[in-house]
Amino acid sequence: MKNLTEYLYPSDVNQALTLLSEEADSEFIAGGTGGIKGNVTRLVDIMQLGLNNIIKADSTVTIGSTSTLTEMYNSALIGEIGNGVLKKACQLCADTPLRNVITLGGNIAHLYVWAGLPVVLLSLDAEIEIFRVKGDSYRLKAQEYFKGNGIPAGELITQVHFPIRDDWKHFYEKFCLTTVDYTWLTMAFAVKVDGGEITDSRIAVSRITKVKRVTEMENYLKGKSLAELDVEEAVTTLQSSVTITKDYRSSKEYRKQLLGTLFQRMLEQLLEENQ
Amino acid sequence: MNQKVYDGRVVTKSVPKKDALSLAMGKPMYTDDKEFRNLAHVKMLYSPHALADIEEIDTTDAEKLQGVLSVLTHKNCSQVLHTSAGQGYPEPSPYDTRLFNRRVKYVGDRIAAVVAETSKIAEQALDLIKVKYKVFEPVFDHDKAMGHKTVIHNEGEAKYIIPVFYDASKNHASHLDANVGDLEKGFKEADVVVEKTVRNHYGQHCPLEPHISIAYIDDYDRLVVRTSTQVPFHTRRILAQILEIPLKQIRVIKPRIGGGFGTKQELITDPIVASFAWELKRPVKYELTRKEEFISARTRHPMTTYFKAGVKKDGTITAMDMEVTSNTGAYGSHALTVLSNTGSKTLPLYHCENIRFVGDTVYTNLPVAGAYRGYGATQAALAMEIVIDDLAEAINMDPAKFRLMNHIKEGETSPIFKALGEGTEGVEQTVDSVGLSECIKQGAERIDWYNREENKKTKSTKTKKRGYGMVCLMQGSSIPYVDMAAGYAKLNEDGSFNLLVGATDIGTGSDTILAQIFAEGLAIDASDVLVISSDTDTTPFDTGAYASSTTYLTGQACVNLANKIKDQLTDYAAKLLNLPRDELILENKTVIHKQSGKKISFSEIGTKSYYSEHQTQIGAVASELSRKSPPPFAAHFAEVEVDIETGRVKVIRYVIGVDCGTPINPKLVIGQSEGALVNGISYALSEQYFFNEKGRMLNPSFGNYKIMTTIDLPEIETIIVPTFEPSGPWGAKSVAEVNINGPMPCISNAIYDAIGVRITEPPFTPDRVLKAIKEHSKE
Amino acid sequence: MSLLLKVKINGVEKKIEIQPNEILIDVLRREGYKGVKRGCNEGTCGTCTIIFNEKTVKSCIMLAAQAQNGTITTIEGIGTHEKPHPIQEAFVEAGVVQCGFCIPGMILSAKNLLDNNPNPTKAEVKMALDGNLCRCTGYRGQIEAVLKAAAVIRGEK
Repeated sequence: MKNLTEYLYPSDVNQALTLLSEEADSEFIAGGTGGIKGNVTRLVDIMQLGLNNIIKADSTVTIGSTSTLTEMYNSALIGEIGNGVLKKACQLCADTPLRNVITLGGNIAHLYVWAGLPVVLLSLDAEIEIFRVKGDSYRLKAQEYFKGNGIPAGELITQVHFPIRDDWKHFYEKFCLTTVDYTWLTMAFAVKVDGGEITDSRIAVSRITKVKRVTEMENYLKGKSLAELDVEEAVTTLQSSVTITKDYRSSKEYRKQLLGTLFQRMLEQLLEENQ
Repeated sequence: MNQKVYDGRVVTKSVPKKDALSLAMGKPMYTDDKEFRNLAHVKMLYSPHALADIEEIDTTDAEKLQGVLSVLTHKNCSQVLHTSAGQGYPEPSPYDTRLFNRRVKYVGDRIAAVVAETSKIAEQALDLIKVKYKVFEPVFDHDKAMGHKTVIHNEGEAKYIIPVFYDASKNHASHLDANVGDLEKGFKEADVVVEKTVRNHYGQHCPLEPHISIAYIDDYDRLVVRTSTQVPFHTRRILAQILEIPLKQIRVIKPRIGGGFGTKQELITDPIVASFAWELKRPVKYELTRKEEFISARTRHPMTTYFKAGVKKDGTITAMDMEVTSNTGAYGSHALTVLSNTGSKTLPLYHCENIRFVGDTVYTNLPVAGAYRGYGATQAALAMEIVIDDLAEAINMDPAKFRLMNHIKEGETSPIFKALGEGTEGVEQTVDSVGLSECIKQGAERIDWYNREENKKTKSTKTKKRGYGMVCLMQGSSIPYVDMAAGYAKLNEDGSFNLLVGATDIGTGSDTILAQIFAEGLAIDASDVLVISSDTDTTPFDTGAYASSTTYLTGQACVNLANKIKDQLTDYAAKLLNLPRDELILENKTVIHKQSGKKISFSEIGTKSYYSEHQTQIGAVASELSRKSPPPFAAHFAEVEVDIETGRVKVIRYVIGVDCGTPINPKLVIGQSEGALVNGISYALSEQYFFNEKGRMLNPSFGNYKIMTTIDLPEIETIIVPTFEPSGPWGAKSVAEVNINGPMPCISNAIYDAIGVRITEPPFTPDRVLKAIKEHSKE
Repeated sequence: MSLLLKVKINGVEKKIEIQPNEILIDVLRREGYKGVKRGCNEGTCGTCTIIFNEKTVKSCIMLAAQAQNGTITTIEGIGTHEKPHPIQEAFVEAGVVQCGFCIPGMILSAKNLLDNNPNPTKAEVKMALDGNLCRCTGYRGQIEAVLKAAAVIRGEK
């Protein structure tokens, strides 16, 4: 950060976006734990724009993008989302002092491979609200957002809208060596069961691959009755639907096996709870 | 067993550590906490190659950069060949390095040091240094390094200064062997023979405070080095050697330090700052980054240990054969001594008449191994304690009962004590305090060992299996006929004492326990003793914090010291009270004549001896030479859970029974035991060095080198089993190292108990465990 | 281009001239708060932990500028020799201050927990301390000391 000469504190979103657009090598800063690029000349602090709201309306909870993981973990409203799946994901990120500063927006803005929340946004079909300069905002469904390369330059994530979906079943796993560790494999699985049949599902994985929904798996499960579900086949289908990337910490074979085991346990728990 | 146990007045009490409150208040007591005007900063350039010759190095642009004060490379640094190991003289480690070498031998070896006005400028200057390398094919596999076509130290100069084996042309840094009895006969007598080969991995000490030194020139033109070290006296001597300046021109001071565990039994940052400060005549600071701490400080020796043992059906161990190949990395500090410890701190543990030990240390182009708590015993215990379990299983004997039957007992000796020294010849000794049976019994009871089959059944599920394991361990207390420790004390006029010791408190609490030991002999409290330690100008000699020597050896020096002071106090009181000295005793900070009730307090003696009557300074110096190395003993019991589908191993519960003779300060004994234990569990389960194909470490940060946090802490418990060591201060032995040796074999034994799979190559990470499970099911 | 950092440290209003790219730990240590330790300088060990706006943060990965108009507590703001904080007393009594390097950060994490949760479970204590590495003690003693201190603060002991 040897070129950093300006640190600015805008008081509203428009001002923040303007300050960013004025200077070529500008960045927003929220928690600041993600590492700041070396050539940055101006930092625009977004922590006092009032973007830490947590509001429930109908069956959606809207969370401001500078809400910290600790604030989210402690929020009763957020505990309702996905029967607690988002809260669980927050708890398993990093450690206490880091959770105190890592923000929701920060966890999704730059597609960090270790980020714990993206798979949950995917499994809940969350909507990401983004502001551009001059008050222009738009929304992107998580599925579309995570197909990209993160937040485009000059834009700011302001809100994330989460469907509560407490009539679905939700699972989340983060597997790593010690509890406070960068993930080896993170996955979220949400499934809607009606009359003993899987009517819809979402499966999202990250770290073993770039964060994504495994739509082949979702199609496989759609319409399957729980009573006739072949768990072994479902597991091998998932394993063959994901191309596992290199990670010096463990072999591809191991993580493929792990993916299968974690999913198998989710399915077994689903079957058990639906008896 | 000799039931004698010492119940002290000051010792055996958990007196608060003298610096505890100050440290808990964040007082500025560490090396970096003292500010220096005009301080210059060092940054280091490291080799990107595992083995290369520096053909050209051009530092002109770096030197020209505004704010750069000096640059050191192999071309202009001290040309004195030495060892960086902080050991006594003559060092039992090869002299195989200069401050900078033209031939660099691992990724992380030093190329150039820059000192500048700020560390930012120093860092910028590194980028301006131009180096041309001739790169060679490195050797990484320690099982293939001996006689490899790549000769790492090919300069032809490296050598030991003691007459021991050394053959750098074969990458062969040391060789040891010892033979007792008739091995072949022993194996013939056995009903069952078991052999195993284990391999342990690289590990780092991870002291929370990295290496840091500040050197400056004082008003008398002397070089003063304020440094985070375990060995201030060795540092002074070796600095004098390297810089070729008189030793009396150098002062080394150790302030509070943030942990060491062995990596600071070494000269790493000290000679660099000393060199620069001497040249520039201004204060210079060098602190390692955490990345440098992982790569360019010291590590644990990875080893391949083969252990074969034979047993009769009645449980008698008839033969033991241990073969060790130790990887010392690119340089040989502690290459010989860690090797000898692998055998000397394991083989005496069990009765056996026929023992063979063969050990070799080899160079590789990997990070440098050095002293690390356990010091070879950790590595060998993995092999031995696994095989001991196998032997017990083969003859259908409970592992605890097998060890109870076979472990060395009080009054006994082992031929290994004489056969294997620590760089020098070994010393015969009997073990006169052995609480191991009681450690085993109490530990077994606490973890419900004899009901473990039932417990396993009730607690195991289809995918998560419970298992129980146990091990026995020993270490030593100081190095006989090598280690010497001393103390100096003087009486103040208020009856308090200054106790000056060279002994190095690295967080262990030695300042406190030495005060306790001294106070015990003088009818005073530990709070009446003001300790100053580890300053080569003011405190008497001590080898330093290693070899588990401080409590036992410096402690005994303090007992000797107290006795001398006691004599002086008694003599003085006899003069003043006009009474025969042998009728006087010390009680409650007073010299008292019980028969008449006449007495004189220490404070009165202090004031009068200073100012008014028979004026004299009551004070003394005393030392102690180590004559034996009485082992502390421990029995460890672990309950683990193995997830057979993910391979994850979780330690549920871990119980230690430890015998360190008289526990001078029970809470500190527990602190040492549990700290060593958690370090050992962490090393067994999750610590690992990952290297790429070029020999570069990939994970040099706490983010990716995983040590335990509070979240993953199992239920741990320490039971102190007091015994009485006749040669130790108030019956004490040391305790710092022994418990770190337990977790690897104990967890391996527990995993085997849980799932019938023997894992011999830690760390027991989920992927490695699952692989072992799969390979086992194929057999 | 320097900026003026207005921040309250241990109850005292401060105005400190800083550069935008200065790290908070460097500024704090420069200002004399040596109890803020530098164990890794990259946010992975917790020895630099301070309390900022009533939550623990790692000062080595925070820009000083981020602390504008905020409130900071360092270990120097907790307890005195004459009247130590119950957490400091509990740590001393338990014998868990070995090398001491992790201790200021741990005490602040513990204090922040007890300020918000005066009757924590053991699991909650473990979670509050999960960002503070310690290599000397094995943690068990600190965890129990925090629980003891909590009871003292609640007036139970």
